[in-house]
Amino acid sequence: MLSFVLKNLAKQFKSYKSILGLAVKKTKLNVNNNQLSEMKIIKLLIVVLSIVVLSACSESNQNNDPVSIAYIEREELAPARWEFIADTELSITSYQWSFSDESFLISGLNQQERVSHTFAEPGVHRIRLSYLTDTGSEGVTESEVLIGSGSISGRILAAANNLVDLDTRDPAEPNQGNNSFETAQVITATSQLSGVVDEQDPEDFYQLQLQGFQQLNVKIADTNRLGRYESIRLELYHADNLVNPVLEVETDRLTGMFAAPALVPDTASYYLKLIAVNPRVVALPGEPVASSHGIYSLMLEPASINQEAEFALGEINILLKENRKYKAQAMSSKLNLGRFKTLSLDDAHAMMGHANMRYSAQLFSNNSGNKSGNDDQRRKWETLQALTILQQHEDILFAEPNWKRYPTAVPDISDPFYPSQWHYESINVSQAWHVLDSLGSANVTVAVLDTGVLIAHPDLSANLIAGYDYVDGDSDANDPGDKSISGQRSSFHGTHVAGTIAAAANGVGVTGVAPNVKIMPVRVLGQGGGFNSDIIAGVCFSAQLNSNDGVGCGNNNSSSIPADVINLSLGGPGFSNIEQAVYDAVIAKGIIVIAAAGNESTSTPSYPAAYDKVISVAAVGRTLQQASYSNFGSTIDVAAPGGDFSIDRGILSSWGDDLNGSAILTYGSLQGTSMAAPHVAGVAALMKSAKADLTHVEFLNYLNAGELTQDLGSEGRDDLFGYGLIDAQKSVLKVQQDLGPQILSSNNSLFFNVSQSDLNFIISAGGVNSENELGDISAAVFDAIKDDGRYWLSLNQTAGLGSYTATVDRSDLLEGSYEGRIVISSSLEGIADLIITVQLQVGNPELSANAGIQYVVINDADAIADDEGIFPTIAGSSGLIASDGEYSYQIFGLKKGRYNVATGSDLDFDNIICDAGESCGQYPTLNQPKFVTITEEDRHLNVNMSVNYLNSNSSTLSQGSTVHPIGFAAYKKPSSPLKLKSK
Amino acid sequence: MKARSFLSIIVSAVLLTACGSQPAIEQFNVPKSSHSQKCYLSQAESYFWLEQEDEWLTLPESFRQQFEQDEINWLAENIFIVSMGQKPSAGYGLQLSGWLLEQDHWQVTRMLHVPAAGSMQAMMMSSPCVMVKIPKAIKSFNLLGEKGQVLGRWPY
Repeated sequence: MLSFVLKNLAKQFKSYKSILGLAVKKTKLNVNNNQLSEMKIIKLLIVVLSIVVLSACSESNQNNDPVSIAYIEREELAPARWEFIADTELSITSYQWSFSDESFLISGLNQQERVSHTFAEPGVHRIRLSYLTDTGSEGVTESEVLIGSGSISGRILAAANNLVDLDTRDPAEPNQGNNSFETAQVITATSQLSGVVDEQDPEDFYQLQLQGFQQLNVKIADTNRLGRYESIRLELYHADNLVNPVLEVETDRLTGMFAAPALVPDTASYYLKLIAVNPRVVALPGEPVASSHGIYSLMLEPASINQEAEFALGEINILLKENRKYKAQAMSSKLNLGRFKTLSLDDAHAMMGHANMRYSAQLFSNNSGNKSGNDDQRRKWETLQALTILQQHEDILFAEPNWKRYPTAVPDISDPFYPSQWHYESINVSQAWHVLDSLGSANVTVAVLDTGVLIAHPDLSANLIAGYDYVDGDSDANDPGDKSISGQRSSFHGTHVAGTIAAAANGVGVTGVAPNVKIMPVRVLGQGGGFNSDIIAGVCFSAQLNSNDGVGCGNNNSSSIPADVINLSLGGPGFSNIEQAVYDAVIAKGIIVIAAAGNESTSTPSYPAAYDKVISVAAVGRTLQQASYSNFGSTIDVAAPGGDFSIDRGILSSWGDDLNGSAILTYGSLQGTSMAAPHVAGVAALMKSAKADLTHVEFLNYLNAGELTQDLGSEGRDDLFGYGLIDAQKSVLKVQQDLGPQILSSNNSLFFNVSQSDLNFIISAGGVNSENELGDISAAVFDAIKDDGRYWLSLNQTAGLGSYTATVDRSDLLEGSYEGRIVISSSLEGIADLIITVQLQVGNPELSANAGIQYVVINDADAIADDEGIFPTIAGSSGLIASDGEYSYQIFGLKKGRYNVATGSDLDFDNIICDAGESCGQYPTLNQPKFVTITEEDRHLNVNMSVNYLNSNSSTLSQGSTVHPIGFAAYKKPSSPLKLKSK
Repeated sequence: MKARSFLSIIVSAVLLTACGSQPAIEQFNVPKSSHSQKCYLSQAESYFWLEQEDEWLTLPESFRQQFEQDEINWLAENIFIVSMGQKPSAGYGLQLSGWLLEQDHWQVTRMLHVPAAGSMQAMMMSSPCVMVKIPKAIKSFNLLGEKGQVLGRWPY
């Protein structure tokens, strides 16, 4: 009897292995490991026996059966594969396995002693075994397994300037109403906001503090319904006059946008009222009933025109596009030189009227210093407002104020497109020319290893010296074009790069960073790119390497002079020992070698930029943030403007156009680290103009010491910007041989964003043998004064060279932007003051970012779209509400697999997130989404994302009619069948 | 007699034509493709089917300017654009080839050109696209990938 009990007990142990799983295994291990005494074993047996008896009572069917189900292999997360076996001492002759997730369907496949089965879904599943023994008895036994699931959770960070209308159509929004001046929603002066006005909610009111000449823009987000939507009108009211609006602007019905941004007349407190014009429900034949209005985007952006610079009031310079004619309403030509004209603003009201704008006679607030009687201030506003309208005109290439110019030692740049080369102002090019007192030396040569150069280009021809073509193997380095498909345009990349370095300051087209230096064109890229062999040959030629340099290239021309700087706006993967040896030899010869870091937005090295000692240049856009495409990582040495079409107009330079045959010599904008590298090459050329014997190693040492750059990103070197943004003025100052005593600063400007309170800069001496030669140095703050007379800007010290800390105090300051100056002076006569401009942004401390109610959705990265391009969405969150600019989410019940994770708002409540005008984000970034993977080992993933509006001016995502990023257009919320539309 | 013979020939010809008549078949030529390397319409490969000028005007002005010479007759033509998306260098391109103009059902294959692996390229961002005009009379337009997979059908 006892042996039967023990035998049965052992069987129960084995049987419960399948049900209790690991817990039983652990119990057995503990028993073995602890070497229990016989007494303890008996106690344990009694306990276990009790469990068995209890189990027998509650599950008599299972425990009475002589056959039980055990597992051999198992997975815990769905889809989970298990392998089962019958556990018995009986001799079984026939098996039939079935499973609850297949409705216990009998299959001819499951008739073996062992069976494997994959449980597709999480949850409790039952396994059934029907068997026949050799004695002819039949039986059925069952067991149960629990299959688990994974989860994805994380935080979502709303973009800092995002705000949302508090009464959209989404019922999950805590509707607080903003339908009157009394209940106006407080927003900040730098907001980007999305909202809804329609027949249910025809007006939204906002209250805010605005700065003079800030730009206001409203756009109807849903471009698919343009023409079917009515207009939205913006009315701007001074806070002290809620009866008559200062400014009224309506969106155009065809484009859904303002004809041009509206400019705020004056710094003051305002109310904004957004009104649905003629709101109603529209029923068009053959279409579902729809609202006449929908989502709008309200964009509040800083002033784009330098307020301090002087220009002629009532006059605007324009350059027409080729073959276009334009007759501006309410304007006449003061000067007419064909495509270039100076227009006179005769009737501002008529001009605005044509752009759906009306403005009040009472343009300025009663509380403002600028009363309506201030004609100059009014005229200034009218001129700049007309200018913004002309800038949007389809016939006009450029529209600019008629800037006032002053005589200088350096010739004034009259090239018509020079004012549009914003990228030079970023790196202080004109200041460098003044320090150098020239535009560079004709004795300095920069080799451009590229696609060749259009040698007849009027901005380049005078600055070209003999080069070579290693693609065709001749001495003609003219760019024949590289298009591979008929009907395409060639890149004329080399012409663009060469123009950035040394386009002549000749009154034509554009200007280079070093307009007087020479370009050696070396063609190493052709149709389909180029090979290392051609590039090595080009480098050898440019540097005139010979056997004395350790790399006997044998293709140099003994009569040629080597280049001083080599620019390589090219790259590719793959390290080459041969190339490294060549660059080592070039650098040893003192030639400065500069290369583009690459545009893959990766830290994977791109060569030649990643070669040891070669100066690798990353790209920034106009806001001096890393360009979205720019490579990064430990090999980056320095940053320079490369343009970013999502936020600026790219880098403007000389270019060609061969769409219709032979190349037309023209100008155009491109973006890339290819465009950043020649800025550094140009600066190096200016430095060589000041110090002819400057070597690559010296350049690199100065760079590594932070003496050629404005620090960006993390203090000191970082992987995004290297040692910072190249600064032409600092660079030339560093090497200027006959430089008089000068005060130098690590920063020419300081910018405090809404959250920064302290910034550091370093004051040092230049052009002196001893710091004493500069006299006593004093530092003082100017202009940064609050209404009560206190300063909002202070310094930690007021005298001496060295490190300074500037601190801002935002107390009692209204929202907006403020500007002040720090002036560093010497006690000695003849030493110029150094002026550091300081910009301060003040936000509303009561407001945190809000990108609207968020819906997180998970979709299967491996799913295949149906005929309509619809992907199934796996899971989603309920509506998430922002808290201090953040959201948190948790999504459970996910199976093993690869998932894309996205988030977005649904302001129009059409069950689709990420529509135009709605916020949108994806892991890890919207531009470069990546999937996450749930596995047996990694079940609970933490996935953080950021979210931003899709329809800002800085996004191209909404500009296509119906196109969104792949895998990202439309998600159904969890309350409906979950689907994802591909495009 | 001659007149009667002539009339009978004419009548026969008319009758034959009428009895065996087919709908008038409009002969189409392969449409001209217009290319650009600076489209910046989308981050990834995308397709645009435009039927009205309103839709065209929603595209970025910088894009539209590049195709100004392609005067579009919106009463007779739709516009189809294939955008390759943003690319990190020169050397990328696309073209439409293998046109199959089966009366009013058209099909074309989208061919992608990418730089050879490991090759050196100019480090300029590019965004190739190709635009074609499709007569409004066309009832269906299929875009295929290189392997024959259907990338899209229009009108929707």
